[in-house]
Amino acid sequence: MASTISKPTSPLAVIVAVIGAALFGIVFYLRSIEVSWYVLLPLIAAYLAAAFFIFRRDGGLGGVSNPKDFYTGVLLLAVCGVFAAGLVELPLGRIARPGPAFFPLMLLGLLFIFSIAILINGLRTKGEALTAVPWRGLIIITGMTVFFGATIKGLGFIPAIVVTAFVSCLATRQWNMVSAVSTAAILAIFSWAIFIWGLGLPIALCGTWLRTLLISLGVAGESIPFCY
Amino acid sequence: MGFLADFFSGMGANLALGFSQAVTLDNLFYCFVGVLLGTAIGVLPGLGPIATIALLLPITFKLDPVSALIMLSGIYYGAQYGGSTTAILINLPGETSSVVTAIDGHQMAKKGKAGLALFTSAVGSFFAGTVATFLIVGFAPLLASAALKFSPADYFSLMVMGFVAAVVLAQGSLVKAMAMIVLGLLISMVGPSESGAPRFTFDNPEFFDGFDFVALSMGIFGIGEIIRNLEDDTKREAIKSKFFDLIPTKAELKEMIPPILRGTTVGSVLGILPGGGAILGAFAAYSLEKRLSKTPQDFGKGKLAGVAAPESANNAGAQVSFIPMLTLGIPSNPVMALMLGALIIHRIVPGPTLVTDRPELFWGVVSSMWIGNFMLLVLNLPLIGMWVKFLTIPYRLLFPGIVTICCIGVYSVSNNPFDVHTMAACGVIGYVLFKLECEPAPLLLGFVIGRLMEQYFTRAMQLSFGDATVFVREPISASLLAVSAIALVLVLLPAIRKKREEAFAE
Amino acid sequence: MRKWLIAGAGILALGISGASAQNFPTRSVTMMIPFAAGGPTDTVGRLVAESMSKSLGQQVIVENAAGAGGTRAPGLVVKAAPDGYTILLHHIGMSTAPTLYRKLAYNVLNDFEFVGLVTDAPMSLIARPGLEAKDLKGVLEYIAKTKEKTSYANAGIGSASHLCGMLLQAAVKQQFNTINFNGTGPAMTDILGDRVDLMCDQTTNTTGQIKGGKVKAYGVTTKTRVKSLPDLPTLDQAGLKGFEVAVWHGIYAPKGTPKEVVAKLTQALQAALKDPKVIQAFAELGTEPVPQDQATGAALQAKLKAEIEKWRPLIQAAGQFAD
Repeated sequence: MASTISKPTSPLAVIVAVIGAALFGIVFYLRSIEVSWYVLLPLIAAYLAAAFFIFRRDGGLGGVSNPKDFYTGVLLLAVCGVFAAGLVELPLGRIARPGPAFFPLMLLGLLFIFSIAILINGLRTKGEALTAVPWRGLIIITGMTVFFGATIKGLGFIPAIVVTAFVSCLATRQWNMVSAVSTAAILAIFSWAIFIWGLGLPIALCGTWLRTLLISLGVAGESIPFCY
Repeated sequence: MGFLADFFSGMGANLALGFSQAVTLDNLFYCFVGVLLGTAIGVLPGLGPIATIALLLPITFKLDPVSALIMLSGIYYGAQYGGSTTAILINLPGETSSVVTAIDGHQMAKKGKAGLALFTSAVGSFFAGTVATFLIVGFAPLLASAALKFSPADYFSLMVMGFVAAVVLAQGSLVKAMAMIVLGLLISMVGPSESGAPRFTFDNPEFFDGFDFVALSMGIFGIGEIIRNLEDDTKREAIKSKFFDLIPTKAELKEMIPPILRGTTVGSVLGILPGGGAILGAFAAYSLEKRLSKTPQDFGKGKLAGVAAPESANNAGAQVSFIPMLTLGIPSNPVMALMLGALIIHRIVPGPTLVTDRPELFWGVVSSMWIGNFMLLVLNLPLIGMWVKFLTIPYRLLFPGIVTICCIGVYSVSNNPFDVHTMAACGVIGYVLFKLECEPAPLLLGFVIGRLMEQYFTRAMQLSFGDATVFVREPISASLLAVSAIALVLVLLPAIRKKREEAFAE
Repeated sequence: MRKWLIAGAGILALGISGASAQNFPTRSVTMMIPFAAGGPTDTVGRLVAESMSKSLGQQVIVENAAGAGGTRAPGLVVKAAPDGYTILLHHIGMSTAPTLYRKLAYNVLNDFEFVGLVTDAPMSLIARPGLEAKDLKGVLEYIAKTKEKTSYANAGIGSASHLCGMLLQAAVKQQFNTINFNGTGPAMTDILGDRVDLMCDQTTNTTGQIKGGKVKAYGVTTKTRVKSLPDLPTLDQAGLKGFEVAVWHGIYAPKGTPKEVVAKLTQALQAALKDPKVIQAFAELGTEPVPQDQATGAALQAKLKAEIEKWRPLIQAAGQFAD
């Protein structure tokens, strides 16, 4: 698992990565003072181009000796940037009457120190390399969760569950049609029995989009059972 | 000696009155309905005791106040039992307290010891519940007035100590654990500030209420765990677990008893504090076990003590948090606030006079707690067999179910699609944290405590007119900070020494 | 158990919409409360909701939408469909929000239909047990001596205790060290623990503590004494001439709710205020229902207008804005 280090990290590449983290906060700040995306997008594109160029020339960050720590540091710095951008307009108050920015500013200072410490640790110690990411699973699972949230009101309880459950089955390469269809069916019945029948949750079984569709197709009248 | 005799005879009379109230057919029935319902909503992700009790309040109008309170408290501690089941089986903590149980409990389940983990959790909770009941019977008024001594500065320092406990709990890098706590604290700042003005919302109305704990926890733990399991996309064998595995061996029994005792103590002590001490119980108990253990490196890999201690602490804390509510009329968490509301609707004014004005109510409810805990034990032990069976479902069929139920559960909390989207984002975050070897438990602790901590800090500053030395001047606060400092040094020392040894070796 | 839950939740899975104003209500009505469950406003709401359910023939479900100093729930109700199925119960804070919050997402006078007033809850001035003052005179002397170091607890900006505090500061012409708490419970903890000097809160919250002798009590804020606390003088009698504040509660519906529906809600409210159970429970809380002629939309609208004007100069003088 542990990778051997072929080449020392290029200082320039590290600087580029840290600027990248800071850029995150800068973009948030500029958005909060309503700078247009037309200005921001070229800025981001310019940064990405420069980063690509420098990473190619210097062998990128592949040589970071402890990537797990290094990337933690970079990500946390980006988070610091976002919160710093959000902090700008908040009143600080004074120590006898701390304002809404007071406590977060203390936290931000701490997080910044920790981020730098972790980042430096990532450059100075040896650690394991990152392993492969299961992109298929990650995208399908996250995507279906987003899908469920986006359609639960429109499609309604049963359709949202059936689609979410069925597509989620595809997240593993071990799937097959029969089990995916039956999983979706069983889950729809099971969830209905527990959440709607048992607990009486106020979720429409078929949602507003379906209702409008059914009415406009003339399939049903104004009042359709289970649609509200 | 006379004092002790008086004490015990008084206690006996109180308990007799209490049991005569609780052991009526009606009240036993309501107690049973409460714990059964509590277990059910505890097992299901999402809908927690707060939502359920709020839904059931209108029903309790029609009941006798004693029965109403017995049923509502049954839901409350029943949910604590049920919550650990999902945490252990599928790494899905729906309550703050089960976040810690999930760490070792789920690892045990992966090793085929789900039965034993659930058994430990049930027995630990029952024991803690029993002790807590007796604590309430014997010392409620005394403990309550002691708890009032805690000033905002003391609470702030208590939370700092909780964070040190969470750092100790971490298996990997200490700096990363500390960073995770601060990250959790910062995330909790998103939403309305104390004055109601929005903070860190970037003008996005969805952020105005902040993030929901259930969405965060189920995303980072539940969804994150699924993505992580999909890394190994080969045909995986279902975990084999037999029913009889739940009965512990003599060695396991021996291993389980001391953590249960210590966990109960820690949970009871912290649970008395009305300002959110109970949240820290499970974390503190786990860290204590890890510190005392001869094999701290086994924690996080399915150690029995890692389930026994936080589960006992958690249940003891839940039960003891009735003390400030019943004796002072101060709710220590939203569930207790609801119970106060239920009392007021029954025209009972909660406050320091409750115990003397309505002894049958006070002692009846307290006695019913013990009965309820016993019912939970009887109810849960046979259920363990069923839960363990659940794990024999092949994973490729199981995970779509977990994803779907998580979605419904999170949505049901407040019928808000944004919570589901928060969960999706947190799933990715949870996976990234796993990849980068950052631990999520300290992050969640920070998130839960963030707002409280800010309030205590602000109040301590306002009360002292901006004098920050108040944290070291007040005796309770100073000793808590000293304990935290010592604990932190003790944890850091081996790490530093190890580094030096490594340096010498090179 | 299932039936219970459904009845309890009042959720009729088959509740079919498309109902007209004549047969309102055909499904459950949601009453939004801007404060957390278990608090005094919630209690008033739940008592009234329970009784209104009886006369409406449908469940009135209480939903707590706490947050943003009590301005979150009205914001939600304004956006709800104006069909009478979503209503709002709010207290005095409805009249102070327009001044406290300069960026309010709704207009309290124009965005609502008015159902009626509910009750005027008295407040009482209490102090930590260690405060030496025996009566209100003693308190005034204490304030004169400690000046801006006098600490005053409230349950959060926009809460009744916050408003009473502002009124008190104006009456004694002295700024306090105001400590904002997140709800009455935490505030009471620091009063009981002898750390904060004063608090003025609804009798709902203070009666138990006063009767138990755990706090010092100096007076009630209404014109007349409160039945549940007969020994307590009014602040006006005790020396703060003209000091009067009561936490009035009103029920609102979103603008555009049909007149017949609002009328039905008003009728249900009036019936609830005649319900002996409600009267008894209110008495226990130290309050009583408003007279029937006050439980009307017109009375509520007039009260709201008057109260907005009453509080605006006070809040502006105190320079306390929430945002």
